[in-house]
This record gives sequence, structure tokens and C-alpha cells, in this order.
Amino acid sequence: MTPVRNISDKKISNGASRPLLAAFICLILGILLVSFIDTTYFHNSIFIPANHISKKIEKTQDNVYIKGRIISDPLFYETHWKQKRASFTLEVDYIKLKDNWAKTQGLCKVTIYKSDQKYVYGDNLILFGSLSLPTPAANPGEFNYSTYLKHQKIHVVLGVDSYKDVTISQPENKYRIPTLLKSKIFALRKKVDEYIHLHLPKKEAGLISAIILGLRSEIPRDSREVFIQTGSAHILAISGLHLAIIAYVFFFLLGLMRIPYNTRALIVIIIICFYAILCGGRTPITRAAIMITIFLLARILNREIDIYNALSLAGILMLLANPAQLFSVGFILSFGCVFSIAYITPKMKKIYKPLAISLAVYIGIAPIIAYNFNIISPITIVANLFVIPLTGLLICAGLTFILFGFLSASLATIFGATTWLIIFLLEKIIFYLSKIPYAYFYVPDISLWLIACYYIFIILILNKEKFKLSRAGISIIILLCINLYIWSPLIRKSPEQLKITFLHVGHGDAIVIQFPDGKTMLVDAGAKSKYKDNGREVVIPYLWHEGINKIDYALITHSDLDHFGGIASVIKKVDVKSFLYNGREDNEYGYLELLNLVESKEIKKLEIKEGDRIEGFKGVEILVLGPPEEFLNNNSISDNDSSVVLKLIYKNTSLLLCGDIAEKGMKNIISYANVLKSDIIKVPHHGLCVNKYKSTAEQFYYLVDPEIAVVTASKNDPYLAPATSTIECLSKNGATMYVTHKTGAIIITSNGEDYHITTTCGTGDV
Amino acid sequence: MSRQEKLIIIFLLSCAVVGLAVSFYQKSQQSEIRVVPSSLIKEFAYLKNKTSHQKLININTADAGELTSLPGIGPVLAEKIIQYRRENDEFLLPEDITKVLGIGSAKYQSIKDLITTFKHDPR
Repeated sequence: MTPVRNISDKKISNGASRPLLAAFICLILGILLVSFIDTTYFHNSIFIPANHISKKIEKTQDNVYIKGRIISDPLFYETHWKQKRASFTLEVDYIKLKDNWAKTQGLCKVTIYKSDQKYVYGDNLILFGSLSLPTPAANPGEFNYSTYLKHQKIHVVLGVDSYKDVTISQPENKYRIPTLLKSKIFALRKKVDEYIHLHLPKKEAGLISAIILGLRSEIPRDSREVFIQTGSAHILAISGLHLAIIAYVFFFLLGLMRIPYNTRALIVIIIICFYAILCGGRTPITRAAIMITIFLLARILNREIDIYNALSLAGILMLLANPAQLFSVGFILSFGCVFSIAYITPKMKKIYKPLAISLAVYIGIAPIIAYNFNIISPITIVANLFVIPLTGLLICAGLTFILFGFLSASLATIFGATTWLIIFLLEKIIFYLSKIPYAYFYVPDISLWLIACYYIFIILILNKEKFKLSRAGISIIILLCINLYIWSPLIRKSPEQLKITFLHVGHGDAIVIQFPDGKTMLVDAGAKSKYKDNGREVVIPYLWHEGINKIDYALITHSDLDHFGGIASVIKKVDVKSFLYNGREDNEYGYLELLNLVESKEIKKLEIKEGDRIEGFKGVEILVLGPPEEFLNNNSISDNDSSVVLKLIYKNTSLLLCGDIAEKGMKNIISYANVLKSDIIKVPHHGLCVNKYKSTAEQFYYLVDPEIAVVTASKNDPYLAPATSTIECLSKNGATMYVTHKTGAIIITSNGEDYHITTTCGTGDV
Repeated sequence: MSRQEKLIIIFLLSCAVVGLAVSFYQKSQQSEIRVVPSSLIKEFAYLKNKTSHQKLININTADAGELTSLPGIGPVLAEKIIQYRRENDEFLLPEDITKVLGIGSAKYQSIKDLITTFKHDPR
């Protein structure tokens, strides 16, 4: 933060005019207003040109040709089934939907499923594949890929089966200098990345690549999590800090060579711009590059610098390039940070300067972090004192390592070792800081009103002289807030209703039940693989979206990965009070590890089996219909058949949750004829049915006689769920089918008299 | 700090304390769930085995006359059962009859083999 600190140190003459700040604020308000009007009255469309690629299609369209130019550094990665993929952003010029090529414009995210890894920035391509609008989030609270892309001006995605469907066309403008330069820079980045990986172990190399080159995809999940918990994730995203350090280092080095000041400044500007492009030019780095350039130019021209004006100019330039950026988290955080440093730090004169800066940033952006990432980490204030100097050292060491390493291999080893040591230290410090009690805690989604109140309060406190606030006044405000916080949940009466949410987790179950008395139960949590953890990506965001940060009862129906996989992440982030399971301890896909985790977290473990009754939910009765005791120690019974089967009754609404039971499980509960009859059924085993027990299944569905049948299956289900026989059987009994991959999350609310169904993106079929 | 300000602060503080106490009280009132074995299996056992065909009295549908035929249930208790049924939902399981005032677990033990809550019609 060195230059930034210099800037804020510099005295701003009182009453300095800030026309740029005013312009920036007007621009922000203008964009907010326009986007509000556009989304409310025109459904996101008036500002998209008529020949824009997103207006060429209405839904997914196969067999489309498009022609365009790669404008991002292509990303190559391997999926867990060893498929090599490539993905990049394409600026589209022409499109062929049926017969003729038509001129179009806009950006498109392209994914090539079987790629041969030879595309580079600036390539002109003709691609053949299926063009679609990005899918919106299937579950409430889930990360919205479609919005994320829209912030980057991308409105459509193209899936290409294999590299055979891609032709590299004549590069008509490959020799345009900026394109050529940029492609060379990206090639250099790739080379440096390979070099780093050659000399350092994988994990450390990934971190260095992220911190110095902006290649964030290589950081392992668990180390990223620790960085987030200690609020140090900002060093992983290249930001003003990195650029400032680099500017400072080069300024110093060039100074040693006795180059005159103005020349030095110009050289540093060129280096900074080059580096910003090298790192991929994300929001924070673009902002920093513009600001440092302004700062240095001001020094050359011998003009006084005002940080607000510099910040505003950067903001105006960036928003003019892409107004949608205003809504992206990166933009808000980056500008929020600098603004907090400039605005809050000077008001804390008595505090040790680095601590004051750290505190200022924390005060300024903590609510934004809490709103977007559901975490509050007070440890950040302390962590920054270690992390920032170490990052400075790391960047210096890393740069030396890279620059000298190309000269000689032995030098590379020496500097590589130094770099490794600093990273090691950094990781250890962050790790131990994250272990301090109350270092961080997770919070459910907070309302924008609360954030607004927070900022008004902070502004009041910071300007207490201006607003003539006495100490008593401040304490009264604080006490009022505390009272509001304590009393609001007591006064607000939650509606007396049962809310059952079937989340869309592909092939797998994740069901959240919110009871009328405020208790929460989670039944299964979806699968977890190396690439998708439904617990972390679907269940937790949904819980936070609903304002829940504790689960009273987590129930695992049986030991299959598509049911218990996600629960581990849930246990780590959300307070789980008790854990219910069938008591069968299969050693499968880490099921035992989960049981150990439950024990180490001191969560109460309860075994449930046929005939049990779960009491204690006001107004709601729960009966356990399966599995019978004799199934549990019998190895000839599959784990599916020993699924927990629950019958839930809330006055006139009843629900049957069947887990994955197959023939034996069904046969066992068929005798509960009268209890089986339910309004809603979670269809057993994702609707799979083997012809062998078709008659059992028919009898089972006849007895349950549901009005609503919920099937949890994925699009292009690997097991082809739901089976046609199940669909026939259910429709014969007059049930309406809701399949999660068509409807997204299915939310059923009941007040006891009747129930109501909503879905996130589709309707059920009869 | 003026007297007025002090008063306001004291008032707000006490409000906060009361609020905290109330919320703690509410939390302590929240009942833990229990997993208890029920008579569900027994209710349906004879259907599974298809042996016994004893006539059971359905406490959800039985009239006063039928109820008084149970040992230890007089007209007063029968009336109470009917009244409970009217005011609440149906009995889910036979043991729920203990929710009726006047029927304890001892009385339940003596009648549990004679009553049912489901209309048994095995298909």
C-alpha cells in the first residue's frame, strides 16, 4: 500500500475541489437508475443492440456456427474423468444458425470439451457447437453463473464437443500490434508459470502463480479457504498492493542507476501497464494501474494529487468501458478499500499507522464481505500486519527468482528456496491465525438495510464533531442498536408453517425442512466430488439465504455418496446440533471419516430405525418406517434398502421421504398401508426401478397414492433416472411429477390446512 | 452527561438486559427432540404375519359405548377421549391416548393390546 499511503499522507489543501469525485458519484447513480429501469420495465434488453448474439437465440440451440476472435488468455484444465478442456472468451463477428452467415456482435464464453490445447489469445476461430444462454442458479442462494458472466458483458455460452469442430481461420488481424503484443505477453506468462512449477513444489508454485501472475485456478481449495477465513484472500487476487510494491521496487532500482526522475516515472508506468496486462487485467489491478499512472503523471507534471480525484478518474474510465462492473464484488471491494483508507485512516491519528490502515479497511468493507461471502473475520485486522509485509517480501523474492532464474539454473534454485521459505512462513502464520478462537465466524445473508444502517452509523461516529455528537449521544445510539438486535427476533413472529425444500443437487438428495417452531432439519446433502461439493455450493448457500446458521438435526438416510457427500462441509461451516443415521457403519467412500468428524465435533449421534418416533417438533409428527433392525447387520441387504424412511405429518399435510429403498425396503414398509398414504412423496432411489420388482413398486405407489411426486435427478442422468416405469406408475395414480433437473429447487410450504409449491425455474408435469 | 441522558442510558441498558433474559428463557424452553420407540411395529405386526385377526377398537373412530368396553375406561374418560379428539387432531399412535387428561401410562399398559389408531384394511 506504499504509494497509497504516500498519497493519503500528502496534505490535501482544505476545500480542494473534487469535480471528478462528483462526476464519479453521478455516473454511479446514473448506472444504478438506468439498470433499475432496464431490469424492472424492459427485462434487461433495451441496452443490448438488436443484432447482439444473445438476441439470436431464445433457448439452447444445437448445430450453430460462430466466427470470432479469442480475447482472453485461454484456460486449459482436466476434468476428473481425464477430459482435457479449454475455455475462453470469444468476441463474435458472425453467426450461422441455419443456412446463412449473419453479422452479429457480443461476447461468448466457449468451452471445448475435448481440446487439443493449441489455442492462444488473438486466434480467429470458426466453431461448431450448441449455443445457449447461461443457466441461472437452480437453487435459492446459489452462485449465479449467469449474473457473473453478465458482469463481464458475456450473455451467451457455447459448448463445443471436440477440437474437431474448431477451425482456425485466416488471421486477418493477427498482426494488429495490440493483439500481437497481448498474445506475446500471455505466452510469456505461460512460460513463467511453467518455470515456477519446475522449481517449486505444486502447492507453493500454485500460490506463487496466483500472487505474481494472477493465475488463481491453481490454488488448492483448502488453502484458499484458510486465506478467506483470515481475511487475507486479497493477496491472492492481484491488487493495488502488488502493483504498488512492483512500482516501488522498480523506482528504487532505476534510482540506483541514476536515471532522472521523470524518465524513471515513465519507465515505471510502462512496466506497470505491462504487468497489469500480464496478470489478466482484472478489476482491482486495472484500478491500481490507472491510479499509479495518474499519481506518477501528476508528479511529472508537478501537479498536486488528490486521491479522491485519482480514484474517481479510475472509476469513471472503468465504468465507461463496462457499466455492468459496478455490480461486481471485485469492483465494489477494490474501490471500497481505497476509499476507506483515504477517508477513515486520517481520522485515527492516535493509532499506529499500519494498524490504522488495516482497521480502516476492515471498518470500510467488513459488511460488504459479510454480505457477499457470509464471513466476518476480525482476525483480518491483525493478520494484515503480518500478511502485507510478507507479501511485499514475497513479491520481491518472487520477481528476483523469476528474473535471475532465466539467467542460470543454480541461481533459480537459490532464489526459489528463498521464495519457498517466505510462502511457507506466510501459510503457517495464516494457518495459526485461523485457529485462534473467534478468529472468524460464518453469518447467514444480511439485509441491505442493515448494511445501510451500519454505514450511516460509521459516518456519524467518524464525523462526531461535525454532527455535534457527545459521548452520551454515541452510547445512546449504540444501545439503541443493541436493543434492536436483541428485540427484533423476539417480536417478529415467524409464520406457523412447515417448509420443505428439495434442492437440486443433480443425482442425489438434499432436503431442508423448516419446522413451524423454528427448528431446522437437513435430510441428506448431495454428492461431493473433486469438482463439485453440493454441501458447500448448494446446501450452505441455501441455508444462509434463508437466514439459518444452525441445523438442529442432520439426517443421513444411508451411506451412499450422493446422499452423505456434502454433509461434511455443512458440519464444518454450520452449527449442527445432532446427527441422525441408521446406525449402519459401512466403510464406503469415506462414510466412516464422516462419522469420525461427527464425533470429533461432539455432535450428538442418534440411531433411528423402524418403529421409532421422533418427538419434539411442535405440531409435526415424525414416524420412522424403515429400516428394520434386522436389515442393519445383514450384509445381503444393500445399503440402499437400509435407507431411513420417514413419514412426516403436519395436520393435513403428509410427506413420505424414502431415501433410496428398492425392492426389500419397499416390501418391508408396504405393510404400513394406512400410514403410507401421503400427499407428497420423495420418490425412492431417484425414480429408478428395475423390472424385477416392478409389481412391488406398483403396489407401493398405489398405497402411497401421492398428489405430488418429487424426483431428484440430474440432467442427462448417469443412471437414466427417473425410469419410464416409475413415471407411468406415478401418473397412473394421478400424481404430478416434479423432477429437480427441470424445476430447480422445489419448495413446498404448508400451513397445516393446505400446501403450496414453488420452484426456481420450471413447472411439474402431470 | 446530563441527568436526562443518564436516565435514557439506564433505561436502554435495562431494556437490553430484559431482552437478553427473555431470549435465553425462550431458548431454554425449546424442547430437545427425542427418538423414542413407538408401538408402530406392533400396530402392524399382525398384518405382516397375517395371523391374528383380533378385533381392535379404533380410538379415532370409536363411540362412547365402544370406548367404555375397554377395561378401566368409564363414561367420564370416554367422554374426555371424544372431547380430546374433537379439539385436537386424530391420535397418531395408541400411546398418544396418554395425552388425554386422566389416562396415565399404567392405564395405557392395561389397554394397549386392545386399541388401534389405524383402519386396518390390508390390500
